[in-house]
Amino acid sequence: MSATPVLRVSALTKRFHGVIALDQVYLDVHAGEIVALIGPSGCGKSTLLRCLTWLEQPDDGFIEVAGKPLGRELTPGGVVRHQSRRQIDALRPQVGIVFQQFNLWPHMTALENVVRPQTVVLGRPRAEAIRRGEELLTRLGLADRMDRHPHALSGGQKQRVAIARALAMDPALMLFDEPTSALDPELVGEVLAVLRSLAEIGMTMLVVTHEIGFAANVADRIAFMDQGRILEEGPARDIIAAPKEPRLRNFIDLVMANRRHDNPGTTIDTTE
Amino acid sequence: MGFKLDFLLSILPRLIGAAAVNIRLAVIIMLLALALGTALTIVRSLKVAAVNACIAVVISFVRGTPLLIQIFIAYYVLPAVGLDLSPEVAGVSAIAFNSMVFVSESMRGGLATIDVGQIEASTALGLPPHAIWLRVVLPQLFRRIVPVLINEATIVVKGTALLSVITVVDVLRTAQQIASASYRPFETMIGSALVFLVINLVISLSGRVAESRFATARA
Repeated sequence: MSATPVLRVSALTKRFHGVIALDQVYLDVHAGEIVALIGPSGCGKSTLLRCLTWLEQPDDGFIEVAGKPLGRELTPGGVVRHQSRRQIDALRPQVGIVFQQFNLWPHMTALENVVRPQTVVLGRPRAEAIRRGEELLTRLGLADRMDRHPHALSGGQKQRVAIARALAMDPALMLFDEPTSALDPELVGEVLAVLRSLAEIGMTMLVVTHEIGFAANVADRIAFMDQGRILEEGPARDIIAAPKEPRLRNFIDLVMANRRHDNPGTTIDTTE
Repeated sequence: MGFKLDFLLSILPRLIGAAAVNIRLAVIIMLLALALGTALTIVRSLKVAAVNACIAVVISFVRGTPLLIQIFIAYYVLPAVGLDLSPEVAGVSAIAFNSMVFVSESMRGGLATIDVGQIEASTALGLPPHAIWLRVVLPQLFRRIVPVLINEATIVVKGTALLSVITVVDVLRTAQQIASASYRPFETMIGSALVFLVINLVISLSGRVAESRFATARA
């Protein structure tokens, strides 16, 4: 693809007290793509997401969002320049993130959760922000929940408010951290439907998940991560059907075995 | 000399008039304590080791010494270092400084109960630090510490009586003046106690109303 990728990660490295969490990660995500990032727990998936929002500062490497460097840039002279908090904050709305625990603001209604960042960060007039918030919440099926506070919403509803809050900033890219893990298993289908609906409007997404079935169902491409490195990536179907990397094969076998144990009814649908 | 209700009733108007001084000072002190306590909390949250060490010394001084001594220091010692304050200003400064520390300590306790995830979400959305404090952290913090603030307000109101010793003509000093003129300390002290009791009952009740109102609007 010749177009500038929405997200370009190059040689991203992060250490925690000398222990390597991300080891030279390279990843491109193109416009309209859904990429699932899978891998065993502790492999660095969540750390990567946190670095992409600069909640965690990578030690090395570069992140580009829609062609613009985030956090750190290489000047034409070859010098690495660190951006100020203000510069980073200016780019942050471009990367929407939906956290595992949603992290809504409990003292605001669902609508206010979506409206407030628009007015504060983007400087949007309140009336316009409210219009946008209502439109997004309605589209996500929360028209009758707008005036509720987060504690009066179910897990799935909170997640959709969190999605609306991120979407309202008009991000170029949406990140999802384990979108199915904090929800009841029967809601997984619902999350899938929401992500698919976002895909239909052309949203670019990077989804971290340990659920292979979910990844296979939702993603165009799957990237497999282990010990801080992306070991294999490719079209979702190929990755599941013909994994090359032995560690990926092990991971898939392991997950499939567990899956058959836990809920024999679930099968992976790779036909789509 | 027995207790005379009509004497008590006859001095109440003067005591209530003097209560305006205590109420005015208490309001100023609480506003100052809230503003300074919030500022102190934010400074402490920056976690600059040297600054926090200094603050810790100040806090242990304020917590470990009697408020009355702190008031005396503000009124009698500060002039020695060139800070000559009027009785009211010295008194308000001393109590506000004392109260600031308690406000900040309870805010720090409340801060620990606010989920870091919310702050991370705010950061990821691009909210600048001051907006995170103003829109996300402080509104929740204040709601959480309403009971502590109400308690602190009643302590401040009682503390204003101590200013009578540095010549502020408040309820207590007025009562003392009446007592020494009439030789009736019984009624005057009961009268001044009643005035404080009523003020603090009003504060506690309105605090309870505020608490229940906040409780409906919080997680």
